[in-house]
Amino acid sequence: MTKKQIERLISCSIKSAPDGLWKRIKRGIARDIADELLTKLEMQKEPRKRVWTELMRLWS
Amino acid sequence: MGYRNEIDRLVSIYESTSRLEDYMAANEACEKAIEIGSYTNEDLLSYAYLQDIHSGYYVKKAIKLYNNVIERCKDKRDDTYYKAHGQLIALLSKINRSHESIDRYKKMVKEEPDNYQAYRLLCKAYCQADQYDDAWLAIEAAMKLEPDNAILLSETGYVCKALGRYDEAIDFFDKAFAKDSNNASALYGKACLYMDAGRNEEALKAWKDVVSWLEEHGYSEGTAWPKAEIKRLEKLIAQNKKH
Repeated sequence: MTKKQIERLISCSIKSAPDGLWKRIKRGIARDIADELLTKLEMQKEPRKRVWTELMRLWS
Repeated sequence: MGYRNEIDRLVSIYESTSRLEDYMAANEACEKAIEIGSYTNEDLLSYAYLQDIHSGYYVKKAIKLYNNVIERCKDKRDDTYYKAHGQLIALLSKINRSHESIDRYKKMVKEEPDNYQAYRLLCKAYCQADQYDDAWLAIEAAMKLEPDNAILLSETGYVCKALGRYDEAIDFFDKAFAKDSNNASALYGKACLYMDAGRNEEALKAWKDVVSWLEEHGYSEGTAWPKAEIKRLEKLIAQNKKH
């Protein structure tokens, strides 16, 4: 099989994939985006918590 | 020692019952005293306190109503549904309860990861809490889902503006308006940005664009604020030219 034939085969397979499959792929990507966001937000919260704890320690 | 007078007694009753009819009675007594000019500074203080505690009644009522709208529209997920969420976020921030919104929309993002509105609402909750770094993360994630969405482009502009990234913000506002010229949010964003940055000439032009948009779309009544800004900026620019 030539490279062009393989590419055509892949392209046809993608086009003929059922809608349900696309929806599952899209949801999977969205899940990754959401998980990444929530993790980043937690990580961003940590330094703020540490600063606050340190301030409370200094004030007390 | 007992109550100082009838106003003091009625305000105390409302303070303990929170019943609307008790507010009405106390309010009437205060207004009557003011109307006839027979009141002391203590009475005036009681009157102010009465309004102060009564404002909580309206806040509670509004929160209940917004949640009611959300519940009624949850299957349709229409414009009204998302507007109610947005208004609720703004109201909760006024009473220092933004943390509740943040938790609520983090949960929504987790449960509905493919719904860009969940990210947008989380971004709004962070903006209301002045946590713009977190707001940026939320809107950035939403943009990964829908990079061409005009509403998201405009809101990304607002977050950039809050972060002081003015050039980026202008770029997002321009892209948003190019995608959907029926949404004036980007025009307002640009006008406010130029004002914040002290770029008066550009602010003047931006406000004129807002007025044109409002008039073209049949919202002439909404031009009072932009027109006041135009007047103020014209005066300011003329003054600056003199010096």
